[in-house]
Amino acid sequence: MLGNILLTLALMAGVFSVIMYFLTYKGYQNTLSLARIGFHSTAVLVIASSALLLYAILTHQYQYKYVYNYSGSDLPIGLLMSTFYAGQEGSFLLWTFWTSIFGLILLDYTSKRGDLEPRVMVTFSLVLSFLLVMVSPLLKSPFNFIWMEKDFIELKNINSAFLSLPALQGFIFSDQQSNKQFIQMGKELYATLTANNILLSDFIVQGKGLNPLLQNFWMQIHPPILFVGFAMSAVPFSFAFAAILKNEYRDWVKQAMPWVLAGTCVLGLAIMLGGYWAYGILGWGGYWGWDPVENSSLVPWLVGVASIHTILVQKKTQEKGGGSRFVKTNLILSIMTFVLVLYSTFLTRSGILGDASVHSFAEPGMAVYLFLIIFLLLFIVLGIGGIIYRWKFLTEHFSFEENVLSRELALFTGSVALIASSIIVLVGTSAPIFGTTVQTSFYNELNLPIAIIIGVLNGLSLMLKWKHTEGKQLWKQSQF
Amino acid sequence: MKNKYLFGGGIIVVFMAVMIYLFTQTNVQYESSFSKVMKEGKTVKATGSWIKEKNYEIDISNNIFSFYMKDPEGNVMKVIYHGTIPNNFESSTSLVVTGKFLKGDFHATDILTKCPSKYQDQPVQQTNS
Repeated sequence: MLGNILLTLALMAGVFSVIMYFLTYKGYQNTLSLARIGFHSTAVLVIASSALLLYAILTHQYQYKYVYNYSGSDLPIGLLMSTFYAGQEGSFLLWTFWTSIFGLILLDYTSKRGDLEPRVMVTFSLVLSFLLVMVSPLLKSPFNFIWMEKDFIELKNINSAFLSLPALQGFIFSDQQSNKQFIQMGKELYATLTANNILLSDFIVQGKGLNPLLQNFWMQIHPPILFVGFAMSAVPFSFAFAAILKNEYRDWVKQAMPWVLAGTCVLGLAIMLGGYWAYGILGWGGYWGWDPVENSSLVPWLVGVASIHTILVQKKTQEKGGGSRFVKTNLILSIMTFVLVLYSTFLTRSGILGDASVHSFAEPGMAVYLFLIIFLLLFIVLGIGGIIYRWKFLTEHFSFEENVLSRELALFTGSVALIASSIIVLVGTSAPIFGTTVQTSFYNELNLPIAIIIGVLNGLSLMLKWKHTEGKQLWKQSQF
Repeated sequence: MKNKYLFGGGIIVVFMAVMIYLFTQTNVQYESSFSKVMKEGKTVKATGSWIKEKNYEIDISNNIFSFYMKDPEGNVMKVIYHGTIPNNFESSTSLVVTGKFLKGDFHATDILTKCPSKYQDQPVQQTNS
């Protein structure tokens, strides 16, 4: 009960801060402090909810359906804590948690940089609000009680002291196929238990436990780090959108760069940890199996890495008052990194990939499916729509020629190679939507030439100078 | 501006063309109708369920695991897999086998087992206290 109340209040505070930040951006005077109160309240409520879920897991409160479904009483403490994010509801809450934490840091960072805060935080709080809708009691809250829907619980998970009670006999069934005995959980049983003064947390004494395949050291490390990467991917999007709002494009790359770097590094680390984990488990395809869930975290990362290099060029060319290169590219790539994170969430959580992946979560239902589509479409419309809206201005003010023998062009070409790779992985991964899959040779054969191109460009870009390099000098330098 | 589009665009165009070609070469359709699978004889991902009554056979020396599958229409197919029986095979509700139909049997290179995520069916009997 308390958990759902906290999350609902958090959602309300989140929406409030979006509105307040928007009004501040529009020029209203007194709304900034209200927006800050709103965002801080959202963050505090999310932290409290997360602490509550962790507490419920640690104290084995099986009256919560999520705690019953994913944890057990005999797990060591590390794994027990990791059951927090073992299922849909908890993993979304973890994403929401990190988004709140980084939102607080972002708020502080942007408040020190002129009029940046409302422009960035309006978008970021919008992201946070959408995530809060996902974990709200309407959709996938981890705090829903186990009796709210009909379910069957194995008798071995029930406190045997209560099993002989006459009032409960009508709820007990046995299954011929598996020879197991169950009790039917639902509103009726809950009413009966309450009438007999039996607490659900005393009645159910064991959970379904953590999937044995996940009972591993890496379960405690890889998912939390991955969700930090996902949470941080909303930051470049917010900075890019802030630039679009103000129609000013020089400052945002300097301001966003530390965030893009940190977020991409963490996401990359998480992906590699996942590979290291998969290497140890039979049946998971070695370091990299081109599994749809693996791929869908790789695609935004590739785009993020590409954006780091083009942002670097824009920063460099702007030095000493020079013109800004790759402005449109940086806006597009920053928007797409987050859009691709949302797309990856849609692919892996909507059930649309059902047959294709070992990572498959259980079917989440139509409401979640539709909500994920709305989430994805809205941010595509905001991000890409914003760029289209400013396109004319951007082409008029930021069109430059790059010399062929320049570091700018080499870095750009390298980024394009990474983008080509991301498109390939995206197409292959999305194929199951259309009822077909690709074999791993598809990915391997296409990525190999890209790797070669990147290797060549890596070496070349070290020797190329900014703006222009003398052909003869380059030739001399590349001799041994 | 022109150089950027030349190099960047060039890479994209070349790779997209190769990608489309390779896609057609490597794509594997999902197929739930065994009559199609048996007729066409090309590599597919066949979906269906294990026929419990026909059991399964494990040949350790040749590392062969074989069983029978049926599709929604009721067609039956023998599946031969060169590998070990998957962990959760017996409790699986449905299977996806990758491979092709050759000389009367389906030779699988991959088996994906799907298990019941939640106890769903209504049981038949009530226990007596």
